[in-house]
Amino acid sequence: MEKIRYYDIRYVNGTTTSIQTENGVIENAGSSFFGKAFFRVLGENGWGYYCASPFDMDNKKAKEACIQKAAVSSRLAGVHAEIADVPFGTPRSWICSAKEQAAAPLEEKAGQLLQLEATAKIPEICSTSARYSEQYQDVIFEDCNGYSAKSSVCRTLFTVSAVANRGSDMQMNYEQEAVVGPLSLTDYIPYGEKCAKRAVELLDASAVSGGRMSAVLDPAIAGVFAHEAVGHASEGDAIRDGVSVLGGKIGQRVGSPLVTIIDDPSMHGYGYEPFDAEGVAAGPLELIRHGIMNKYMHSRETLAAVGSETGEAGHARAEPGLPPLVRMSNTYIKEGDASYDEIIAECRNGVLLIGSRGGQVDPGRGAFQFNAKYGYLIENGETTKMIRDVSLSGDILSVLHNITLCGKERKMSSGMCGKGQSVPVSDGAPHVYLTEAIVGGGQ
Amino acid sequence: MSEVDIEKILSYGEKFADEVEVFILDYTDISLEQREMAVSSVFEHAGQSIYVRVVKDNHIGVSGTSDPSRWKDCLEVAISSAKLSEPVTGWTGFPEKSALPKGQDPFDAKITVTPDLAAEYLERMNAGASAHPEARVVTAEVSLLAGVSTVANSNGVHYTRQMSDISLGMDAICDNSTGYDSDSSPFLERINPEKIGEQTSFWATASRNGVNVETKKYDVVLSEHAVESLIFGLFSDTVNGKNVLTGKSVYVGHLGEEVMSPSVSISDVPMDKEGSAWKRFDTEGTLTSDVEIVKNGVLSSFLYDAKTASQAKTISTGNAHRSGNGATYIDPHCMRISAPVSDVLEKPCMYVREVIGAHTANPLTGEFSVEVANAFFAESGRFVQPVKKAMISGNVFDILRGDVSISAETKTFDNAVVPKMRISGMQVIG
Repeated sequence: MEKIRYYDIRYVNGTTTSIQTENGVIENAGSSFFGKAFFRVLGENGWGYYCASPFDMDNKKAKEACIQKAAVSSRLAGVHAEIADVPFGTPRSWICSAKEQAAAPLEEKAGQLLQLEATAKIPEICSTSARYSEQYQDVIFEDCNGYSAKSSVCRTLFTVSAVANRGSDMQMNYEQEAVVGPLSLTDYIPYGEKCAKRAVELLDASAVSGGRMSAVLDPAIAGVFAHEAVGHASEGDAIRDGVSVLGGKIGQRVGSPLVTIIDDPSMHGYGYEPFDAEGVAAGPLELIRHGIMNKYMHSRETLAAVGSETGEAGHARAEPGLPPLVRMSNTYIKEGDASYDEIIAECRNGVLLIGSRGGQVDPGRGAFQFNAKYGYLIENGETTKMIRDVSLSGDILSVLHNITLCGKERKMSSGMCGKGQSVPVSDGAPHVYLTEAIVGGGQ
Repeated sequence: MSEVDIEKILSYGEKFADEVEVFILDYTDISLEQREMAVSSVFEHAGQSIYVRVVKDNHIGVSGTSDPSRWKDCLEVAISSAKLSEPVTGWTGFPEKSALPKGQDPFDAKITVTPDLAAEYLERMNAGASAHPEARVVTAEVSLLAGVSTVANSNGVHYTRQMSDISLGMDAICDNSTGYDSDSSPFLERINPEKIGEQTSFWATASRNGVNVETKKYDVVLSEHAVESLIFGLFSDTVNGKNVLTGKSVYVGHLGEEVMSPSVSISDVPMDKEGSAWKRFDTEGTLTSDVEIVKNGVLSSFLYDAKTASQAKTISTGNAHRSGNGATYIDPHCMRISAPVSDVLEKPCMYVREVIGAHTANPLTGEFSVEVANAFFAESGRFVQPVKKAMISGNVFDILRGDVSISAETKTFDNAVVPKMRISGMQVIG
């Protein structure tokens, strides 16, 4: 028998139903389903993992056999690991299993999706598509100390996209809404037209000439900044491994006093988790408080490695059947007291960046890049010409110091975060004014 | 691992549908992760996925599960799904049985899914990394996989493919300068772990003490990694038959027209000896063949699977791949570019090893503005000075229409064999 210092099992039973429409017809619709059990054993010198799929959680012999397989693997490891003893908290029991959503016939949802997509058919739109998905995951967590927790979470989302065409010029836009719990497509029918109008407007937008300039970030792209630039650099594994520019900075000023950034898995956003992949139910955590590095996000292992005073566990997340990694959930920049008009006026000359087409960060170097869906030039304190294909890059610490105004109203956006594994997250912010930013454009 | 009776599923399904298709993936894998220069975790996994597609009155339905014992549930869901989907215009059916051309599967019996082999390759990567001792290796990983995929349909197709894979990756840091390298192949002898380790620590150390750059146009050389993520990724989307059919490609209506410099040709070569695909048939059972996508600058073909080929009133190019829910998607197997070959680093240039944010490029217009990583000013084939920070911006389609040259040496990725590319007058933002 192998020496087992700790083990846990995370079983996920899931079903995903999706509908895809293209140019007014149902392209495909259907479901896939799975059951995966992930066994994690901490041996004398590190971790052994085993994934079994399918798996029957009532089969005690099979459980024991899989634990032993993971234990045998753990014997090959050579990096001693500890896990911090932390309170599990009370698993959140927000009712979001959305039984009514599941019970509604697929035909009905498909009809609503087609209706939503149809509103995007306006002049100069040459192609439209829409996608709807609902994902149900029932999780059972058990550990070797007799602790167990269960959750049942439904996530639903839709995306509508439209391509505008004028002569040889083409532009695309998409709108998305993703929530935990039910989502009524009938509430979002006008989104198709909203999406299409923006795509048509982009045909008249100009490319921007890149360079260093003042910038105002809307809540969506400022939220991506909070996630990509600050959140990833505040993850306990990056801190433990010495590959974050925010490492070793607890208690130090890392940004403007206006900046407070929070990660909150208990928030009813797309990154909501009743408990994390180690069974720990976490609440809001201030990563940066008034410009001072405050806490890092941790798993039980990184908390033990980096120090219990440096943050909190409860931030380990995993795709079904895969090992837990330190991840964000719902991450946002806290509201300030500036109005939108004050921010644009203060900027005077620069760019307003709106929406996000995604981004990427190298936390070790402190460099990040993300693209806006579109934007506007700010000239003499007013927004003027629409701009497209515009991006923002920089180094994390400089940008945090360059934030000189934060707006009063915060909005959250939902999406998926990839870090080897893909997990649902949300991020958000108020409008944020940067005195200097590196803006990239096609001109 | 459960034995799946494919014939039973096909014959049962035919009671309810005109055509039935089963795709099964069986695999075992092991991953060793390294931290602090020692193995920190070992992950073993044995998996099986089964995907069922049915066709009834030209309506296609699909479902998938990781539990083969639930194949009947899977079939029922696929049948329900077909009722909801729009009939496929011009549907010509799943592929018929054909004689498979001779050729080897992407399989190497030397890739055994064992911790010993993975540990050996980790050690060899570490040995390579020690060539630049100022760099600290942060993490490294070796994964080994062996498996079999089977596609069978009610038209008599029943093909199996053996697969193997070894994947290695390492990252290192040196004074806030980071380096990363990775490689994967179905064949053990193609992997050079020492080189991956050496390159990882080289990029981390060599990129230190970078200089600021002036915002202006430079001649830029993109590495194989940058060409693959920025140029090939976007081009693949543009010649994807589904995107063409739905109007989401700038190449719609331009077949037969010059879309690139006449000196540029791009093909998909599924059985390319230097590639990793080695696919005699795609995931629907359509036999593959070489596809000239752009020949001497002229757009010659798009890539199709069976469904999109029917809709486009053409034949499948055999480019169906399989996504997680069992539906097919279109992608090249092994893309190849030919263009004037030169010593791309001979004349002064900015060399860009990696780009951050390649996925944010505009897939319709080709516009991009991305951050560079591990970039250098180079001349006479040597790196003269690392670049501290910069963005490059441009348009992928304009680049391919312009004056490009490529290197003779290439790097093999999962679905492409890629050279370095020299581009004149690219906008760099410092």
